[in-house]
This record gives sequence, C-alpha cells and structure tokens, in this order.
Amino acid sequence: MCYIDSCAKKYVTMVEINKDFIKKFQAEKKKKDFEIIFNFYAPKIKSLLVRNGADVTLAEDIMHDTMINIWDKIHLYNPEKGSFSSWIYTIARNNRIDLLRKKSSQPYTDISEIDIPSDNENSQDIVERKSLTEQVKNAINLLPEKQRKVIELSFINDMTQDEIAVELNIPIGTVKSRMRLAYQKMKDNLKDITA
Amino acid sequence: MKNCPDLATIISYSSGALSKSFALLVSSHIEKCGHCKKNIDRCHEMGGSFLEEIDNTELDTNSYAMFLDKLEVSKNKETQISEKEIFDKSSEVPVSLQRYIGSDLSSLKWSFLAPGIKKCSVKIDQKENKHLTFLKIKSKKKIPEHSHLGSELTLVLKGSFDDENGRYMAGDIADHDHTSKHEPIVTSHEDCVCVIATDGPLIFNSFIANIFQSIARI
Repeated sequence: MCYIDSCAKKYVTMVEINKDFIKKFQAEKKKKDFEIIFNFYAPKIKSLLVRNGADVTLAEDIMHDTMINIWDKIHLYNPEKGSFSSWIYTIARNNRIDLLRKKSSQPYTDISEIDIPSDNENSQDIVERKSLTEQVKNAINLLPEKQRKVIELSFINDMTQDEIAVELNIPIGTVKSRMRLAYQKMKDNLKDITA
Repeated sequence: MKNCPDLATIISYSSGALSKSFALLVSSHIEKCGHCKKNIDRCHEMGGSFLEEIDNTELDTNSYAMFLDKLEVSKNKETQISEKEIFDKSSEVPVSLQRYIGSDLSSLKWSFLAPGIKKCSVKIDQKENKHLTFLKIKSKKKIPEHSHLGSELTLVLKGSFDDENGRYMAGDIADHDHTSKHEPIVTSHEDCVCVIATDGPLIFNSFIANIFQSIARI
C-alpha cells in the first residue's frame, strides 16, 4: 500500500488519463491505475458536491460512492460516444441527484445507459469527437460573461432556472434566453475552433 | 421529431437541475430523438469541461485507502443483488417510464376526469408526494384554454394533438412556461394519451374550467 501516501499528493494531469491509459485500465482494471483516475477526479467531484451544499464529510462519502460507480461501470465507457470527463460528469451528476438531494427513492433510468444513436454523424461531428473536452473548454471560454455565468450556475452549482433567476436578479425568461444563446454560441465557437 | 424541449430545458436536464418528473419526460423524448440526443451529448461535454476546470477540494487523509475498503464491501454486496430490470425497447411506453407504469399503456388504471377525458396519476417517488399525470383524451376533444403558473412539459405517447404552435405526435414534447397560453385539441382518430409534468398549477381562462380544475387538481 506504499503508493497511497506517496501518490496522494501527486499532481495528476489529463495528459496521463489519455485514451490509451483508459483502454489499458478497462482491460486490466488495476487498482494502481485507478488511483491516477482517483487523484485527478476525486478532489473535483468532492468540490462539486461541496458547492452544491454538502458538508465535507457527506461530500467525501458521496465522492467515494461515485468513484465506486466509475470503477463498476468502466467497461461501459466508449470513447467514440464522448470524452472521459463528460462520462465521469454524468455519473457524478446522477449520484448527486440520488444521494445529495435525496429527492428520489428510486434512481431514474438515465439516458446515458440506454443505447440511443444520435442523428447520423457528419464529418463535423467526427472532428468534434476528437479532444472534444479541450475544444468545449475553449468554446466556453469564448462565451460572453453573462451567458457563461448562467451555464456555470446550472452545471457547477446545480441551480434550477428559478434559482438562477433569483441569484442573478433577472427574469426567468432572461435565464432561458441566455442559456439558449450560450449553447448556440458554444456550438458556433466549436465550429470555428475545429474549422 | 418535430417538437422538442426548449434548449434551456435540455441544458437543465444535462446539468441535473430538472425535477425528477421533468427529467423523466425529457429522457423519454430523447430515447426517440437523435437531434436532442446530440444536443445532450454536447451539454454533457460542457459538464465534463466544467468538472475538469473546477478547483480541487482537499480529500481526507487516506481517502484512497478508504475508497478501496468500500470497494471491497460493495463487491460483496454485488454478489447478493443480481436482479436486473428488463425493459421493452419496442414498447410505445418509453424505457424511462417503464419502471413506473410497465410497458403496456392499456394497463393504466384510468378514472373519469371530464367528459371525454380520463386521468391516471402515477407516483414516481414514495418519499415525496411526486407524481406524473397521464391523460387519455378522446378524438376531437378540446382542453380549455389555459396558461401556467410554472412550467409544463407534455409528452405525447399515443395519438396526436394540435395547439397554437402546431401538431404534436407520439414522442413530441410541448414545453410551456408561464408566458404561454394554449388550447390543445386532439386531432388523431384514436384517443390521445399523453403524460404531463408541471411545477405549478394550470390557470384556466374560464370560470367553469377553473372550478373543474380545483376538483381535478391538475
């Protein structure tokens, strides 16, 4: 168990968690490899939960449950369908809904677990799939501040449209229109980046 | 698919900020809509991107060792629970709803709501009093004009209806908020079966319909 102390403070970057690394982990499922995934994502998932109102003890607990789900479901991850971070995000999101909000006594069947084909992928979509998260990150950074804020409050702070309206002191219609504009702009920015 | 949820609804679904009843209807729609699935995928990428960017929160000492202990415990539990739900992907009931109503629409227990309209309320959460309202409406029947105090999503499961915004067929979603007013009418020859999620009461624009609503509690 020597790697626990020696690696706990190791700075893990996304470069280490590349497609080959994930493929290798899917095939071998070694605890030592999972530690690299843990060291990168666990502090971020915990951070997300704390920002959503969990105290640090509960956040640590839900984060562990989330990491167990990631371990259990790793064979389901398909890089052709999206980035590893977006896959981790959906698992963290579902755990947050089921465990943190405690609004549900039964989890709903998540769309990500049903095999649904998207509309036929064109060359643009295929280009998008390559290093998508990096491109999306750049596209989000190009958003006007007001549009970025509503998206951030929704994704990071788990706020409903009503809650965002109260937080920013704007009508709910404005929240919705900023969300739509942000999405369209992000889509356009993606085209510019991938062009 | 002609009628999809508003993009803002799709974004809130992706971020997990929709209530369970709304999320169920959106995921039901996405099962048959490649266009929205693609939008959801892009939104999930935004979530992934935000996750990568968020500042780290310090973990407990020996957090990974504790995780490994819990992992062992969960592996032992796994061998005890082997029952898996089986869904019918060819059913007219979306997979997302099958956990609550099964795969056969005709098995719903309808009760009289108004002439030509039957209602079935299905609890989706035992802990909280959350439910979905299913309506079965006869051909040519009109629902009185109404607006909403909150938002309303209507997913068509069978048949079709028209309102001021166009025709809604099986799989389509009508996404209304407090700014919209509509008067749906069933246009299919068969009964129209739809499911509604609301976060505020409907406001009918006629006195009689309002009395009816206070009894029906939609």
